[in-house]
Amino acid sequence: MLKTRRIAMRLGLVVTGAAALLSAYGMGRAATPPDPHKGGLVVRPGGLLIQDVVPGETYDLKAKAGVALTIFNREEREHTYALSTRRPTEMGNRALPPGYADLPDPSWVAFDKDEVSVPARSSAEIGIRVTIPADERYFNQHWSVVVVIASKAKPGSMVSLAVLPRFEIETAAAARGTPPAGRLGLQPTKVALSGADGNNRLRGQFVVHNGDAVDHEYRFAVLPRGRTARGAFIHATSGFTWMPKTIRVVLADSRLRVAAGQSVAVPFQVISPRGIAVPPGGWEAIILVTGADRTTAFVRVQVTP
Amino acid sequence: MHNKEGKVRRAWIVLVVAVALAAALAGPAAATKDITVSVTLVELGVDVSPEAWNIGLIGPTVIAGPAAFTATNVSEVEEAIVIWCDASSPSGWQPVQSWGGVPPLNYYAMGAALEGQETPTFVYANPVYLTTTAVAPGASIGFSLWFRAPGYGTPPSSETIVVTLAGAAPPSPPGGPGDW
Repeated sequence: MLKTRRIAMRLGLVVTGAAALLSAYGMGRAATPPDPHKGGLVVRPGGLLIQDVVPGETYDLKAKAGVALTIFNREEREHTYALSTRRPTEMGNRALPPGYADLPDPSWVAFDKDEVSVPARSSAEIGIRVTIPADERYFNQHWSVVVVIASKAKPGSMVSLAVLPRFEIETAAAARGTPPAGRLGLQPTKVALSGADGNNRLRGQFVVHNGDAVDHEYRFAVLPRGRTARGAFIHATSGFTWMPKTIRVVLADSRLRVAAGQSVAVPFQVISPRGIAVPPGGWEAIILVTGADRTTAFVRVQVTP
Repeated sequence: MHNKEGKVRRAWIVLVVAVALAAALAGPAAATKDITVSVTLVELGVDVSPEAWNIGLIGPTVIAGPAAFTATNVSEVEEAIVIWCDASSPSGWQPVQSWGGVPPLNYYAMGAALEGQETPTFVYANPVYLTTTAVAPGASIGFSLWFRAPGYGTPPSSETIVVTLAGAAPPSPPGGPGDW
């Protein structure tokens, strides 16, 4: 027993010494990359915010924005991956960020291929297409969809791997036209203001549509940095920075009652003190509207120089 | 001459008003512009070990397990681990959400629990969160699976039940929509 242990210790020392020598010449690193993630499935990106989607148009995200899904098979054997889309609420309501609803039809997000085989230790790129049907009610919408990329089980394998990137899709904001589809609709969902050069008040407004069959009372909350008190958050529009605390978005009332099927305009002001300049990209703030039935929607308030 | 000029002026006014009206009445489609796409999460990734659980011979309604597995977040970001079963196995077995009673033919139950949890969550065709808190990049979690065989009938000689383990964006904080 004692002899065995001694041999093992000696071997250990030899191996450690050799590794140190290789490392000193930069060889050890090349032979065994310091990558703790040696297996599994990785997909990029893990989440997207797609904004200003106009109903009736088809968007190829690779052509329009240079974005595609890349599937990395880090396993030692080839895998076939199936791509599909699902409603986030199938995983429970907590899968949805505040103010977003399930994409009514997950097939509105599609891929170049529904299935792709990726050789061992390789990757494959898949194009994404987004098509919201032409319908005026589909403007001013905030929707979410889960993309399922799952390996197909092989003989002898019971557990398959998958990743679930989530795409938030925001359709183009429109201040007029048919009220948005849904129990709670806001119009427009983006209010762009300009000219905040300090010590002034910018005025904007949006309309709350109660698309339900019963009356509802709605609460308004301005989310600092897009974050709720409980930590749920909405991503800022690319290029915009969150409105600083010194800028106030003020609504006349914190609650509003809207009769079934009716609409009410909600005016608000953006009040900025003297000496604060708007950054080149602009500021953004979120006004979250919550119904008594827990339905939520939001307006992006954007201030540009 | 004056009369002709007047007619031309009136025609222009009518045209301008018509164009203005058309613009005012136009639907929201006039708002067409390019889309903006931002990456909100760089990547997601997951690995699991072992890949299989050989249950072996099992009688009707017998519960097998727990079988230990390890899931690893192989991405560079925090993520949640989600789990579900195929809606149907090759022989048409379907998952149900109950351990109790005598299950009907061709219906099995699968349960999953994180290490240290006593009550398993039923795993069925809709994805459910196995972790309610985010798993750090590179971190692993242990979990167990239980399987209850279908009720009496003519069983297939062998059957494969596929359980899928996925990396997903962490769920929103507890409370649900409206309680943000």
